[in-house]
Amino acid sequence: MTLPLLTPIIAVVMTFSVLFTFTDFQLIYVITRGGPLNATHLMATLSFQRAISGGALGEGAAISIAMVPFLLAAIMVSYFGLQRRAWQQGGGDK
Amino acid sequence: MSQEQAVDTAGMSYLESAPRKLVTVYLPLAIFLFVLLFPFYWMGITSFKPNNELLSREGNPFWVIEPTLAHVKKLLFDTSYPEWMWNTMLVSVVSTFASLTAAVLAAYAIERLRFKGARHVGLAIFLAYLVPPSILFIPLASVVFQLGLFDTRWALILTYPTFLIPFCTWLLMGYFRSIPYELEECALIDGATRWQILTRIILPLAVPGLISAGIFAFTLSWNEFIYALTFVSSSEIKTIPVGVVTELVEGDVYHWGSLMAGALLGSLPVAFVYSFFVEYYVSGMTGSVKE
Repeated sequence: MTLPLLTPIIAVVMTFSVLFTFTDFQLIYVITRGGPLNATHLMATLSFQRAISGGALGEGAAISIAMVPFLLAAIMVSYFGLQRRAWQQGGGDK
Repeated sequence: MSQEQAVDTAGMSYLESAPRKLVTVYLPLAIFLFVLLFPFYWMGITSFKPNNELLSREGNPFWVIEPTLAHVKKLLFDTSYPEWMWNTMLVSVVSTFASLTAAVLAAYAIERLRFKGARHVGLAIFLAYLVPPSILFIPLASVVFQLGLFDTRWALILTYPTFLIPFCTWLLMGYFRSIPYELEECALIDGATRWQILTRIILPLAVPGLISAGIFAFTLSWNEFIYALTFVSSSEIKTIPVGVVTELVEGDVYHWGSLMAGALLGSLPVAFVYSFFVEYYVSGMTGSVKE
């Protein structure tokens, strides 16, 4: 009973943690900088390496943009999948 | 009050006896404290260890035999650490206050003015917070460069609000929602303008919410890394997280002692701010007006 009532909060928390884990930058940069031999890159660190350190701003931007569909999917899943059902708001059965 | 407390603790009598209290309260608390404080202990011990002790494989890694201040001295006098500290402080404080001002106005308008599409604006602001800095830094780098702000403090002061304002607005919207609407209606009947309602009624009631939003914003901008790394390159304008990471790691050589001393000193102000405001912070989390 408690868990279903918590779904809106869980949705928000899940969105946040998925998003910020997916786009994490500073942990990777501080610990390994994507090395050795680019083996530990995430997309955020890869785009930083290409755009700022490498000077290829366009390539970095492309890598960043490639993250957007995944983020959108994550947001959609938590927004539609974990919304309050009609019956929880006192509406009819669904 | 004491009666209420008696009722509240009635179900908790199993916590009374000493051995049970040991297992249910003190032991978890001790584990929690250990996990929480061990990193700080490690930072402290590393920053006072001489290099040969740091790198030797013998001996006890959890203790220091000949403490030295060499790392702290190197940090404070051979690097621009005091300047980094000042930059971080300045940038965090200015951008926090600027964002809080903007966020109060935005949150109040969205929550109470009931204009058309207010809900959608609220949702849009939330979505703006969900766009992470690691996507925004490339377009912002281009903007900062075109404006000629590259490598200045203004670059940071002006870009931090991109994530602070949505966050504070979102937090304050929830807080303003918990303030009864009737208070405003009374003020309206007595002839107060919207501005007077905001400054004389809502803001005094929202002080705990403002403080917790302020603490969060301050911590976020204190810890901010990617913008500070991208928009600033000269040493005397860097912030603590960036400066420590870029200037105390040379290739494969980690100056562990100074790194740890820098991290420890850099985390003290935030801890100080937290401890100073912790009561407000807690009451900010639990709603405003008790009915």
